Amino acid sequence: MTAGATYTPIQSVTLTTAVATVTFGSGGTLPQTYTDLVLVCNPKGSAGGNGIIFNLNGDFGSNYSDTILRADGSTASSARQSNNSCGNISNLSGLPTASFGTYETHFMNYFNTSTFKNVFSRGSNADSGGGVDIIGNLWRSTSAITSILVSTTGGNFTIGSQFTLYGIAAA
Amino acid sequence: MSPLITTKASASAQGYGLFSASAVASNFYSIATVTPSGTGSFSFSSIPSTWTHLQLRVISRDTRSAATNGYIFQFNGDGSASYTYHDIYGNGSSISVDYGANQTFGNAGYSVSASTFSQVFAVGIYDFVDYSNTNKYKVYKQLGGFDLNGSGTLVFGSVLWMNTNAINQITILPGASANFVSGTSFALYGVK
Repeated sequence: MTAGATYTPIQSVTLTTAVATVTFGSGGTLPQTYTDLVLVCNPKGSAGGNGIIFNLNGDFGSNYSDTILRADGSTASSARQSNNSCGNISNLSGLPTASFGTYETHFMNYFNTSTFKNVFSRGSNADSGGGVDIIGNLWRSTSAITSILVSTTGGNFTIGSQFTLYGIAAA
Repeated sequence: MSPLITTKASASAQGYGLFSASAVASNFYSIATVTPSGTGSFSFSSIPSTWTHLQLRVISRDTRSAATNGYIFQFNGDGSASYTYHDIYGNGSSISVDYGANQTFGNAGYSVSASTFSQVFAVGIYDFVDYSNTNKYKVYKQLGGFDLNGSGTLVFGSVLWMNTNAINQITILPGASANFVSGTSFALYGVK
């Protein structure tokens, strides 16, 4: 078996000013040289009760759906959103405001143009009232993913929030 | 691992179109990829003990008529009752848990039925920890599932293989009379 080094950092953003959105591949410039993308986020929010969402290729249509498995320290539950206008990086765990959350999101087979896209995320919010969740997103598009817009549903990502996108290339 | 490009955001975090084709040193290596199409079980064989951990990244569909189906793992050809698993599932409305001892296989994730849904695959990400250590039993954890815009299931679980042998072969079995279909991919990586 031959092996090649991969899990290559593509782009990293560390906020020096609070912003509501972070874009990877602005203008559709994500490289198409990997098999999967992995987005590692370590953000904090300016306002509580908000989630972390994503939109792909500027698509804000009702083309997203997800299944959620989550726990808040006392209760585990599952939920679903269909025909949604965005994908979810975090749902119940949400965007913490006291600590920095941790989220790892996998964009599987992201430039395959014959399949819908799976985006799997797992996250944690260590704030009081936070939790952990796993989210299986489906983007019903056969387009290659060329840009990723990461947003909070309210307020801003605060200074020090970090977002890093990696590429994984299969042999 | 140092980022290839580190950018500092100011008022806007947009516009960092600075992608490079060059790679940096990595501790994550692509070992082999199998894209089974019209085939059933297959194996990653002669896996070297070069790495500390393995990760298997999967998207899968198969030929069965049921909407979704599982597949399983066996290590080093071991079909004896030496596997134990714990799983938690969420189906969008409820959760469930499962446990099995002395199984003849390791639980794995899902395949979506190619005869029921078009263009949708199930996902599985498996981490085989310290797979070549001959002083301990082996454990892997799985994260997987699928969403079908109105239905879907997620699973988070772990499997114990009660064997101290280094894992040098991983066999994937899709189930009775089932074949994986085109687009299915099992990509094995080594982590230093």
